[in-house]
Amino acid sequence: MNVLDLLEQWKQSDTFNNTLSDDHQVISYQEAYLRISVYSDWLASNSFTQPMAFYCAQSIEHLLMLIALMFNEVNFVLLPVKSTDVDKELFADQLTLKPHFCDMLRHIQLTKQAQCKTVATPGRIYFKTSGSLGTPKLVVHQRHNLIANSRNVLTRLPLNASSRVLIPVPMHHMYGFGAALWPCLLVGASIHLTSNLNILRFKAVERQFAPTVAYLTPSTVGALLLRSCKSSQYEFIVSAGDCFDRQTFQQAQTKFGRVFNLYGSTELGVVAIGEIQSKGEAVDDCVTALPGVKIKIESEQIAVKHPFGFDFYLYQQTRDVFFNTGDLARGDEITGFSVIGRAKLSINREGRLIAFSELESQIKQHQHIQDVALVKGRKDSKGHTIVAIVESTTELAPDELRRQLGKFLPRYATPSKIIIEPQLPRLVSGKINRKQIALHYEETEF
Amino acid sequence: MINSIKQLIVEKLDVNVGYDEFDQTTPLFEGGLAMDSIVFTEFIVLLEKTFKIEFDDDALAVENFSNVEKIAETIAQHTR
Repeated sequence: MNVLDLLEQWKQSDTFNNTLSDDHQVISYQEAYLRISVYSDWLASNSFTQPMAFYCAQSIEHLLMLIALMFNEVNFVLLPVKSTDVDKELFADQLTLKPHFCDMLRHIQLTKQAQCKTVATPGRIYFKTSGSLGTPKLVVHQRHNLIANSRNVLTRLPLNASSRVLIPVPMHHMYGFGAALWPCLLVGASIHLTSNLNILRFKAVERQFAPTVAYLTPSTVGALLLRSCKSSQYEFIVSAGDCFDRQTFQQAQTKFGRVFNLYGSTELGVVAIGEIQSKGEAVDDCVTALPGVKIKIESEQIAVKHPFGFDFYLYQQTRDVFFNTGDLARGDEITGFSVIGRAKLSINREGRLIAFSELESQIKQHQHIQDVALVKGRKDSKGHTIVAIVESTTELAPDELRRQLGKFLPRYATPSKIIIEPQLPRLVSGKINRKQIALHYEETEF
Repeated sequence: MINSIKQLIVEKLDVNVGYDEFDQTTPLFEGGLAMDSIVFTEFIVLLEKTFKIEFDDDALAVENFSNVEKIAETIAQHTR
């Protein structure tokens, strides 16, 4: 598919008067097509050293440049605007944009960097994994596979040209890019991009844009439904990440109608989708694989063979045919499965996967902490909290230690409780006895 | 009232900020206290409980909650 095919598709589905909007502007698909052409011409008339780093904010101008980059076979990495954790020497020229279109294209900024470590390969697009605390991986995708992946989503989600879709999930992330943005573009739906969605912005968007579909997470659903009344404008929402609790699901169903659960990853794109249902007192969030996707669940671990998945991690150019996701599931590949967590010790907080081993390494950098073991704390609206059992002889109070940790850890990764012990229980081998610690402290915080 | 609102932010919310580290004009969202959607929702519930009011739907607008000073004005309008 090239940009002319996409245009033809928009023409055929009568979408030229549908709109693309963000918090600054509203434009028609017709205007969007013209701007994509302007950006394509700009790309054709400038010489670039690739792979390029494209710093992508949640705006229409970024979206249109992204389409132009894809259809011009540019080799680029998609990064959030404030990305600082990727080795800049891996990529060459850096492309940034302001969110307002300027006729003279002064809103485009290209920073040249003649040399880089990575060999340019047309059509490749790199995504950065979340790497909540450790070094993020760079995932190599092929442009045509990404589009095929998004087309696959349309076999399950009832999106069409009359859908009005609110996308607050970032488009530099695979959930925003592959599950939300491209399926909507392929059917020519009206799209509103936004970021930092809170109840105030949400109400403003509802008034101005009147969405019929929204891509959310269970934690944001809970936050957005404060004193929310039943509304008939929504057809469905799509959620990914955490599980819904019964109360939030019921609220979501009342407000939004249907609720679809989506399972996927940066590596594989969208793997499986299911519609969430009430099942007695529980919530059934089973998903089933999309066409062509093969699932294996052995010892609760999910492995996936995806026809449109990633090629490999940059600088780690081998991988198994069945990709081990590191996720745990209950159910089976035929009737569907529910994702229950990560195989490794980790929690999900504020939608971010936090691996304990990575967080422990950071905590141990504190001068008064000799060693630390983390356990899952109580569950609140953001996921599980973190309890840190630290080995220390410090006279600092636990709350003071916590405050100091909060100065260098991200807020979502700062333990909610610190327990100071002169010595952690250990196995004969000298390793921390995590089983004993979990037995004593896991989910006991109050 | 401004001091009470500041006190709520410092003591009750997960924002990791000291009382003297912000004032009534500091933005609550980007570039200021960077309150996320969940914390902000908790904050609204807390304000309603503390000041025994209920914000009407129309009052839930960005311009009424952009900083502590604006929030104090919004609360004052609901307590009249």
